[in-house]
Amino acid sequence: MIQLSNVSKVVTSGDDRLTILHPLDLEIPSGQFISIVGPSGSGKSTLLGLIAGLDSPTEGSIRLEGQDITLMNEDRLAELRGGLIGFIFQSFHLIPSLTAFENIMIPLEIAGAARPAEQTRSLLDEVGLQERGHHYPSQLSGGEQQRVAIARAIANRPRILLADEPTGNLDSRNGAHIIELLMKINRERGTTLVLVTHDLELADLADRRISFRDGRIVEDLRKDTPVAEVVTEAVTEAVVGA
Amino acid sequence: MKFSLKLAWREIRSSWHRLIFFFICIAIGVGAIVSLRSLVQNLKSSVNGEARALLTADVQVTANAPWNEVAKSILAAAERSPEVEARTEVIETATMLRAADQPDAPPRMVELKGVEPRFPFYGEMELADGLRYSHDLLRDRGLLIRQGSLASLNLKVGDRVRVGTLDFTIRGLIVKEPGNTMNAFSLGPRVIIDYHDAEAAGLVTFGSRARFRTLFKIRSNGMEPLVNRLREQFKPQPNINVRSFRYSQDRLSESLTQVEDYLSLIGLVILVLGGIGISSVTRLFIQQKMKTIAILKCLGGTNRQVLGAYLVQVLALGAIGSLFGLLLAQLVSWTLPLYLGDQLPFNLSFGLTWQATLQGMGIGMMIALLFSLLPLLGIRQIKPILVLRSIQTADRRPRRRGRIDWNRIDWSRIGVGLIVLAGLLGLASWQAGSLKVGGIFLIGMGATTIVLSLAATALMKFLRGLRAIPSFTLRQGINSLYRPGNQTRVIIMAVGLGVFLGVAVRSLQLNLREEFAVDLNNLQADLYMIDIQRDQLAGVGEIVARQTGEKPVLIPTIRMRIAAINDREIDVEQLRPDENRGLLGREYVSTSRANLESNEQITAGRFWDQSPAGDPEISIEEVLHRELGLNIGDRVSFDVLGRKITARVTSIRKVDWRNARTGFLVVFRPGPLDDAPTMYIGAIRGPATTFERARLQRELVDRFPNVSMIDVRDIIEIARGIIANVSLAISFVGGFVFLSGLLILIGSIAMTKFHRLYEAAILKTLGAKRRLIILVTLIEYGVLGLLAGMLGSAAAIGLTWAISEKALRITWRFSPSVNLLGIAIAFLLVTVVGVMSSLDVLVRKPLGILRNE
Repeated sequence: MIQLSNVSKVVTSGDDRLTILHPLDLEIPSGQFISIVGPSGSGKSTLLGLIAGLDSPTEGSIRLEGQDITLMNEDRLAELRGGLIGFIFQSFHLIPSLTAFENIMIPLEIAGAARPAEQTRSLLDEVGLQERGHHYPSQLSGGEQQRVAIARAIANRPRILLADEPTGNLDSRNGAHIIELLMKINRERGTTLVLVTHDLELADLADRRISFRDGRIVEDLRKDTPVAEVVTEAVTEAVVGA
Repeated sequence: MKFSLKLAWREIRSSWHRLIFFFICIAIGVGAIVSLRSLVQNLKSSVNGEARALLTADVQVTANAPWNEVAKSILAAAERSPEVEARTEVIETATMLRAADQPDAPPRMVELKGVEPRFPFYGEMELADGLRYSHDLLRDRGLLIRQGSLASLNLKVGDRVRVGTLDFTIRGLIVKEPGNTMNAFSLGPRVIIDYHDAEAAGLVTFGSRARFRTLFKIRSNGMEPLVNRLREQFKPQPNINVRSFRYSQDRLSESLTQVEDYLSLIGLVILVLGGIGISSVTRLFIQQKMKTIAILKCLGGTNRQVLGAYLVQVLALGAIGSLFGLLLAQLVSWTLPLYLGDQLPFNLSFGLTWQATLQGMGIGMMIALLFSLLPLLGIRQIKPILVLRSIQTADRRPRRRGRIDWNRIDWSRIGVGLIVLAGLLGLASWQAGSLKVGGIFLIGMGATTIVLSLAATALMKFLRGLRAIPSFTLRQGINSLYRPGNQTRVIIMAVGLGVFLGVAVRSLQLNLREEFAVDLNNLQADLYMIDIQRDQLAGVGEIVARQTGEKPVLIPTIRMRIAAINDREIDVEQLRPDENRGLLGREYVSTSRANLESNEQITAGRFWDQSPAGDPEISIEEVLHRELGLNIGDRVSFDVLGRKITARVTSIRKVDWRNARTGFLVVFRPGPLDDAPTMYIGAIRGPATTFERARLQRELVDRFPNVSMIDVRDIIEIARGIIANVSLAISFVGGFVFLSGLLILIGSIAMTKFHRLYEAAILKTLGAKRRLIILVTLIEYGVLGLLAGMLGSAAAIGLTWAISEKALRITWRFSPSVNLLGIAIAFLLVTVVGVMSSLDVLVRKPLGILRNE
């Protein structure tokens, strides 16, 4: 369960204050697959970063599985990221100086897992890269790099998987593969999956779709929500927002 | 921990080439320290191994006058004692040697040694052409002379030479001689003849400058008792000195230890310079690794783990660098014998000693650790959010002006800073062998760094003020100097220090050379005659007057030693290391007169009038006041060839040595010394041509064989030789420092390439042609080189002035050409290195670079 209450983010640059996220409440039940859509600069990546504890909110509290991460120090957060959360980036962010195998093994080693190499091999299997383990990121295609990144993200069996435009740098075929893989993980492992994307088609695959604009949630669409309710909500938002 | 180690290994494996510069910095410093220390330690162990050969005996008794009856009986009794296995006599004096069969050849001053058959008890005499030394070579007026000294005399083995009143045949050439320590300064080449011939040649008269030595060979365990007994027996005769080989060994080891420590400090300077380089490399390395570090943190890595991984990397690179340094030192130790082999009086091994090796390794690692610790702490500030955006926008509270915000102070950084400082102090003190010297060293280095860094900051501030320059190229070039991640300060410091030392060394060399480039035609006196006896005064005066047309002034002198100051007895053997052994132990040549010379000036007290005094009074030169703390009213007791005279200091004089015919540290009021054994010295301006000078010297020595002549022209030659050697050594050290500076320069420029690539890519996208980018680069590095050169050269002017005027006491001369050359070299070097390393900035296509960003 991910619970955000009254979370906002304001940055200051000199004397200027820029509100990236207006105060918002959000609850994501365990095992759900939700997508977040919105134009560039609408605050969706910031939200993802806040949930992962990569940054701290200006106001409000964020609870992951009941623990308030806004009260945690850097090291406690690091521990959390190592166990509870997996993160996938648009530009993969593999460590260029390590092989695919070693990149996947890092979180296992940081967490002090037993027999990390064995687990890494089965993770490579899981993402279909058995043969490419000894290659460096620069020797892999974009799709392969992202698969390595996914393997790395799920290495410690996190309960929450956060993906920031994971297909943004890939062609449609490779993108589809990645999404399939993510959904499989969500289904088979019961991992909560939060996907930030530009691609509405892709977003519609999720159980629930949240739209962002100018740092606010403008739509929260659930697959099981009747259309009328969505329209009412949208109208209310529009009135209140105006 | 295991994770940190693994990560460190993987990182080194893939990015070691980025840190090549890191371990080169360490390698050069460690190489310098290990080779210098090894050399001196080998020298020390040779001294210990051949200590007896240095004295040629177990025990030596020395006097500066022929043995009197009391001394003779003490020595004879000692010889009969059960401890003594053998005894032999040696006599040493400086005298003139001349070719017997060439009446016009000039005489030459030599260091003569007369020896008996048993000499030496220890050590080997090595002769040229495979000749083996035995006393038979000296029989029937045989003579050995130092190899290499015959050419200037136009002589060869087998020729006949005259020493004193006797003729000798040259029987061999001395290559190595036991008992001859490394004397930087000697009046002439060594000559060895038979002891009795030396006496017979009339070289040993009462009051002459001969030294008499009795050498004993001792049965085991007998040395200490004999030395103690002899010291006791000779106590009433302070001009007689008893020492064991162990004493010489200790004394030599002591000064070698000092040499070792000072040399190590030089090595440390190089290492600290390297450390500055390391610090900047580490800072940039962390900057480049920001993404990786952020990813690691995203994946759950804690500060401790990540910091640990990079710390391990630094230590590993420090170790590799130190190993390279050892390799470097080994290379030096292989080449060193080629240069030093023949100049040392005994056999020396040149390998690396294990102590020096261990120390070098340790120091290399310490420097790597100490200088990278602070930049590594920056890892803690890297936020994992960095993986989502390239520029970190944190919601920091704006700083309130003029107030310290205690919550923002990074205490752990301050703590680590203090630990680093303490570590450096420990390192410097360890190397210097003294906390005080280590502290001074650190403060000196720190002050230089701070001054250069402040100057660099001020200059950058000034440049920022130049924003309104209309030329885009010039403005862009100057802007680059303070772009984010710029290395302006580091480059200015590194290059500035290089120029500083380079210019300072060169200017000092020039100043020293100038000082000795005496205008020979303008000297007050250029030929000194010494050891003239009273009954020879008229004859000497006549010869000089006839040959030069000038009547020489002959000054009476008495040789003496300080026996006590204010009733405290001075025993040279018992002096503390901080006491001035040189001034307390030396022999003083004094005179007595009733007037001041034109080059003398009274600075304290009053000089006596013409009337002779009852109580002995002396006037001392300033240096005795300054170095020994002697003041008006102090009582100084002198030993005048066995007789004790106590005199009161009544005035202090300053002698202008540059403008002197003669100068005396101690002058007596006429009276008390009138009946002391007096020898006369004379200072004259000799004839200008070599031929006339030779004729004058020849006639004087032929008629008065005991008189020695010192030709200032020869002395100046010797001094020039010493200066050349010293400046060679300084240049060597300067070269090392220069190399480190250059490395830091190249490293710093290479490390900032990324920024320049990005900027150039943007400029290209906006339509800039290559010419513009080259120009911008030229301006950036040209300005940088110029600034560094000017700063370094300004600092060098200050240093050379201080050293010349305060330490060496020579006239300081500004050498504009050296300073301009230093600035020009810095300018060219920085520009060339900068532009060369930016070549691919011109070639690379901008799109790829921009995409990567």
